[in-house]
Amino acid sequence: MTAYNEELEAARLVARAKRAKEAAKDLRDDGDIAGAINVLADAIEVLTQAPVAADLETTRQATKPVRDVATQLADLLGMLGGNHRRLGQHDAAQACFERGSRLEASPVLEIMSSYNLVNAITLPIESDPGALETQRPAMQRAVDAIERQVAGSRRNDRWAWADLAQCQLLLDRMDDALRSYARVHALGDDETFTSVVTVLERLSAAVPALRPRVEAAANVLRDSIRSV
Amino acid sequence: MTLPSASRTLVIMLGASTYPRSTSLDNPRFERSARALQAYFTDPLRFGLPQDQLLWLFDSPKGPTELNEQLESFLDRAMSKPDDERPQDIIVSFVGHGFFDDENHYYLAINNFNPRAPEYSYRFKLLQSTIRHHAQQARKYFILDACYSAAAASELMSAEPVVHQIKREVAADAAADLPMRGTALLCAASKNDQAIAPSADEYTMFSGAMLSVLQEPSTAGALNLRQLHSLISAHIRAKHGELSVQPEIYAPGQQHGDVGDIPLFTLRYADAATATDVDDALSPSWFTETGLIHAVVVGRRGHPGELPGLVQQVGDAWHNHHKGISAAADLCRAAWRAQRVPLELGEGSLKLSHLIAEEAFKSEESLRLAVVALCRAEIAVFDLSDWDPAVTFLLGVRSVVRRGVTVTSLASVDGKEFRVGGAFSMPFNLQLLNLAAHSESQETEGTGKRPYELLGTKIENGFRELANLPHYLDLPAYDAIRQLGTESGAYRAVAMHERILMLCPFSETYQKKNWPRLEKMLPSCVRDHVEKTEGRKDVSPPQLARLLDLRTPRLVAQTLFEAIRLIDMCVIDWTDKRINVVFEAGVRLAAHPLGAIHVLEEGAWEQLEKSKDPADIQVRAILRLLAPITYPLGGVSTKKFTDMVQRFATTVQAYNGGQYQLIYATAGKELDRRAQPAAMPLANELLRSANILEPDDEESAGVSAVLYHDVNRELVTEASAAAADRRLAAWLFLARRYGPEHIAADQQRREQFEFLTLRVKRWARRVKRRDLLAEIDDVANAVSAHVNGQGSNT
Repeated sequence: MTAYNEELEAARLVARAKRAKEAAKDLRDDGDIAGAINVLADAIEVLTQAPVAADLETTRQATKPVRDVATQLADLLGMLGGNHRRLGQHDAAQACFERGSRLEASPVLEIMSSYNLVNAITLPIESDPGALETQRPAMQRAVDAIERQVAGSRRNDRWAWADLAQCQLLLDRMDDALRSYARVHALGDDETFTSVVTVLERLSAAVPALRPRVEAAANVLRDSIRSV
Repeated sequence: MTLPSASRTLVIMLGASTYPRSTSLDNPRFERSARALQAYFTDPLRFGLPQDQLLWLFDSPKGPTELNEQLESFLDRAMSKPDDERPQDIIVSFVGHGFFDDENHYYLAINNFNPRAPEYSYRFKLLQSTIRHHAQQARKYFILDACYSAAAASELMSAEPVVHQIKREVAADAAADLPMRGTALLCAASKNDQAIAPSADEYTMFSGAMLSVLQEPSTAGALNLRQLHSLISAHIRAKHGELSVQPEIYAPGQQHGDVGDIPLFTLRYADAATATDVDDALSPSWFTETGLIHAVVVGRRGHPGELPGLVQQVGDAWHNHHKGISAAADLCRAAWRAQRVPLELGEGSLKLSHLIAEEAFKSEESLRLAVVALCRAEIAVFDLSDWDPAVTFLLGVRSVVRRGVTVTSLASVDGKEFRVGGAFSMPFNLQLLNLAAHSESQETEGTGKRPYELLGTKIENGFRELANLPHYLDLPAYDAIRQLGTESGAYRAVAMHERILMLCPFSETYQKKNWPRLEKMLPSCVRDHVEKTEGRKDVSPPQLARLLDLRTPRLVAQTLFEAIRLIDMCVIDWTDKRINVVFEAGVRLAAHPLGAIHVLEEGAWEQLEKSKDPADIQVRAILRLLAPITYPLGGVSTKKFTDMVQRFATTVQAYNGGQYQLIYATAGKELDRRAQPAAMPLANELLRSANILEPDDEESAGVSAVLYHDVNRELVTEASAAAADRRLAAWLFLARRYGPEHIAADQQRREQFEFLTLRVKRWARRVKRRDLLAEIDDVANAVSAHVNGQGSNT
């Protein structure tokens, strides 16, 4: 038997995660959110049990195969959180986002995503409008972190700009938020815009006070959808 | 079957040279033999066994029971190691007297030997069963150099029946062993060692021969037990003639291969100064099908007693980067569905060899072996210091026969030390090379930039990119010489009466003196030849075309390689020994069955013959094989030019009769088919093409692969649509080509199909292709049914 090759094992796990994400999207499109949750949870279990993903949250150094698996794991957690939120299971969703954000925050894992981080901060606002104020310090930290990212290797990442814009909007930094949404406009496609607008509408429904800001941002993106 | 490594081998050394109860049996050659074998095993430059993995019981005064207990505890300690460190090979060596008791049980006479009581000696069956019980998972090798002059009168028989009896005893016990492991025996039993090994000899006949084979090899590598047996036999025959006592081998086939075929006995060159893990790439046995990574360093011969600097640097690169390189090479092989790298061997998974460039041109056979090495080596590192002609020629061959991984490095150029980033003049067709440096000054560039680090990183990245990038290239020519167009007309040969390709220098002197002469004489000779042989009268002379005469706006290199591939008659002028021309010569001879007509101005040849410059000596060696035609710069005689035409005509005739030019024929036969473009499965090709347009994780990552994606959205849309088309094509191909049963049966294909099914399904939904959705579901369900064991075989 050939000895264990971490790179090949990681490639296998990455492929497994990609299949699970596609399957979850397929089930979600069919309206089977519970099915999507099962598929994602299974994949998370497989990845978490793999030796290559051992001690991800505490590791002090990570090889490329480890970073690749961690990136997929964070993405799976984000999708799982999103599906729990669709079913109104906010506690489960919050747990996923927080676990994913710990991976995203690891300096050694180099995960180029802020989806879990931003959702872990904003989900409480969807449940409790009062959290808009209590989450401000966390949102400011997120903005600082994502601003550093978009000044560097996430410059062309539409989701980075969307996450940044969302936090800036919630912090009522509308000029900055509209500039960031303009970047989303430049970098994204119609699916990106639809997804971002959906998030804005959800926030607006949860916190009516946000409606004028959300409208302004949504107009930027709706215009772009029409132009597409 | 896992390959052996010194770090996972145990050696047990038994026997005696003194017998206090029977001093007439004392024999100092037994001890010298045992000591020399011990030295071979533990020498880091030979077998390389860690000291604590050798159990020395030779001349121990202990009785058999105590010896056996010592053996048991040694084995238990070693076998309790973790799985990946546990010994997998055990060698038991015995030198001394052996005998049979009254019941024909075989005994090894130890220091405790008592001629009247066999129980004072070590019964062989006890030794064998102890090892079997305590090291079940290991392969066992018994090497017995046994004299039986200690035997009782009843056993005073000829050597042959003694050996057969020992073999029977070994076989009886080995039958109880695990079938996937196995036991092998190499045994010599001499009747009177004193008589047949003259007293001048230092060792016993058998051990002496074995030591000669192991310590003074003609080549480096590893021998299996069968090869060792055959070489020892030959050695004994040659040295002792009629007095020879031939050893016997017992190595039955086992469920997982034959233990006698395991390459266990490492051979290294005897000279300590040159003793390293480096093999000779021109050895016919260099390439093995063991799954090892084969690497070749092409360069000059080192100073006497030293390996060349680049060979040492590649060795250091491997030592420091072997994990990354092995994993990346394994990744590449997995992508090719080729035999996996034996990662369990750690540093032992490389077969490093040196191809001394000047040796490659000693004979046609050595050139053939050099081409084989260039075809087979997964890693080739070229020392281009001072643009050695022989190395550059071989680089030209390599650039045609293998897509990767090739690394080029310089220590010096134009007589000055070279560092990465240093300014220097470079031959135009090598200007795109990504050079490393192995000069002393590069050593001082600091961490991350030292030669071995540059080489190690380049090799590792090379494998990874080769696995993932469809058009990975580290040398010019490979694609340019293969991909000439999409219509068969693009591959039509250009006949001699249409055009002659001239690979030649572009120096001012050459263009002034040589070129006008050749341009005047050669085309007219070709015309005369064609008119004569074809009986025509109005033939126009062909164009004698240099690179600059090929009128096209295409890139120079592309044009050159296309011409090299297509034009039948190619004349290579070695006058001035231009390095561009030398490289092109290598490319041409590897890529064209008709080879080339090699020519040289008469004066240049005379100078070359006298020169002691190393580069000139190399060119001389190359040209001796290529038999150049020298031509005069003046005079009216057309003979030499007619000779060139005649040489070409003869080559064509030979080709038509099935005789191919050596380098071309060798390359075509020996190239690694896995590295050829045809080896890429179609679905993978389509998926790669799709992923280049739109990576399959683009949606998650949020980063577009399209250049200008942020200023031209239409480009992104079109790229996405084109990617979707390729994924659909891949899905349809898999579904039609294999069918549900075969997709389900192959895990890799099944996973690829499942992923594609999901991607294509989402696309079909978006574009509202209900018919396709139904088909996708049908096939996907059928595959699932087969996976779950419910599928129909019809």
